[in-house]
Amino acid sequence: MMKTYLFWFAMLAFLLLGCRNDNFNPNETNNSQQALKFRVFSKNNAFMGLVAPNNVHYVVRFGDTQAGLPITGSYSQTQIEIWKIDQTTLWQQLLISDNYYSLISGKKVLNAKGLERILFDTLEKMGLKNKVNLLKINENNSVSIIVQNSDKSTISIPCP
Amino acid sequence: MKNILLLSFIVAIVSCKAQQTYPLRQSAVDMPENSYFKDFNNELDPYIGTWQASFNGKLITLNITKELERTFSLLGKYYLTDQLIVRYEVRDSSGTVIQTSLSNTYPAGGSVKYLIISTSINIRGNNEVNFAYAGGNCGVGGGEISLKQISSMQFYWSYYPGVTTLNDITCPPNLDYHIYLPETENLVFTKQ
Repeated sequence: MMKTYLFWFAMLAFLLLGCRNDNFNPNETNNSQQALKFRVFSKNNAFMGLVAPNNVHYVVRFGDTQAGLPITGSYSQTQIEIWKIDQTTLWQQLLISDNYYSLISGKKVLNAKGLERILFDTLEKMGLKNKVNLLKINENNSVSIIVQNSDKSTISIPCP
Repeated sequence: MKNILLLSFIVAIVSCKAQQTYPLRQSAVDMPENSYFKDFNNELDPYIGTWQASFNGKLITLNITKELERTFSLLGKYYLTDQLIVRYEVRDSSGTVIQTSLSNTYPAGGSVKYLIISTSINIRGNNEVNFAYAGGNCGVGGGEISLKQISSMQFYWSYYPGVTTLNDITCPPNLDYHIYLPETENLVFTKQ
């Protein structure tokens, strides 16, 4: 569970703090570990990729203009602390909601739907609703875009 | 008089419709706004009080209170719930207080530093009470805590800190980022 925490907090950090200029190295992929990489070609093309377990990959891409990027320091430390404890609260509430967890070795672990709800909820609080695109690359290499319904649940739409 | 009666009737109807009450074990996700998650079975009560444990040469004191009908937000909706609030103090081996939240208050929208608040029950299937911890400076140490009653005088403490990312602008390097709460599972706390 800590690994998935790392992912979602790193996503939040990416949006809060900006990006690093590490290069992707496809040879680094390791199904047993989550490897986070940040990359920016320009401020209009910022994205973050994730190599997740079970050959699932996520890419978060900023979909707005450069003017829409929050500048460093846009959020107060108190705001960030409140969002973080809100994330933990939502995390735990999703773990007692049947549709949002899986049992792995007898332990409840949030599934993709649960994780996606946390991400979209945090983005909305940060004022980034509809400014960030979430792409999911499935095990069979098919690509889907994850979008939020009006009821805030998420659906996966296969890319053509 | 007629108008007052009519107004009272409308208010009563709206009130009935606006709030539904559910047990604490019910997830608030996708539930109607303004629902109240109530501790019907007093499952939180055994944890109320002052508790102590020693860990790695430190003395940890927990002061746990129960608050009724606290407002919280989830996925953009507001709800009410009964919650436990944990305030704590950590002393080193010489008795010096090295971290404390015993006198902290947590007004809405204010700092949540050191806040430990119950969020649900039985996530792990052990009838444990689950808490969210906001962490110390810059949220370091924030994560999950669970308490599991052993007897009327003891419970187990398990703490799972998460990962925190810092930036030097709001989190200068000279702050204390040490985690003083016991990072362990099944630490026995005893009622004082």
